[in-house]
Amino acid sequence: MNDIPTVAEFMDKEFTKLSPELPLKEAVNILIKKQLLAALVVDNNETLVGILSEKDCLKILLQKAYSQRPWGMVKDYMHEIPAAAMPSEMPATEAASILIGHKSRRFPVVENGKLVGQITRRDLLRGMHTQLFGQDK
Amino acid sequence: MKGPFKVNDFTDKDFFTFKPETTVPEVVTMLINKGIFGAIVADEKGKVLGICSEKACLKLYNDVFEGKMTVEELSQKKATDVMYPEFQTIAEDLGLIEAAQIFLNVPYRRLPVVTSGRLVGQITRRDIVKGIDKFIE
Repeated sequence: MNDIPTVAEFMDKEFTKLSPELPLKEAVNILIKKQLLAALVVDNNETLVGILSEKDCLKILLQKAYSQRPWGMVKDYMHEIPAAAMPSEMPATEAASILIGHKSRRFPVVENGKLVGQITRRDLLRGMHTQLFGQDK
Repeated sequence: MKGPFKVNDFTDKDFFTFKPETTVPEVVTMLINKGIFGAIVADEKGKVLGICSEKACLKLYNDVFEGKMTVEELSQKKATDVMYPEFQTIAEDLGLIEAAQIFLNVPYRRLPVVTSGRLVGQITRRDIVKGIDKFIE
């Protein structure tokens, strides 16, 4: 294949962001309702501060099942972004290699240091599948 | 929390499985259209052979984009080429909390539910998050 697409072509620009101050209960509902496995946590200045995953939620729900611990906020349970953000001009093949070798399936995408989107394994797979086989195979 | 709840209460019994001979592009089309990240591969007798992984699919697609494989070769790959052959099963009568602990310790989000060695359903980490969330005030 000669024309290798870039991350920018496959990334998701309209993704769900969670506020660090959002009550955890609401965040769990958002993940369930939107069928998300995780969401990036972004503060008022559009700065990426963490990621909240389904596994983080499962841990706290399990603790809740055993104790009367109060619900906290997203910032109390989110984890650090596991890897550096990807530049939007990175070739999709390079991004795929990183995502294949990495536990995390979701990476923030930056342009000049500013958060412009996120890219997941699913975005790359869908993008590549569509390029090879068309939209509705 | 009310209870005790068993895996059986949250098992998805109306799930679909891939046949071993399903092609990889067919697998990917189903994963994308159904918005799921994996599925059980089972033969005609209901014997579980493995669990299809999105990551393994992406790896093959990336091989095409990197020029290591042709589209024709990709089209001939089967579900058995993109599955983990080793997996853990969950017993139908296991408690929900015990199941949650298993999910925290394995890298999978979907496990087959078996009774007397026979596949009766599947349960995902998401099913358990929903299950626990529902019964915690």
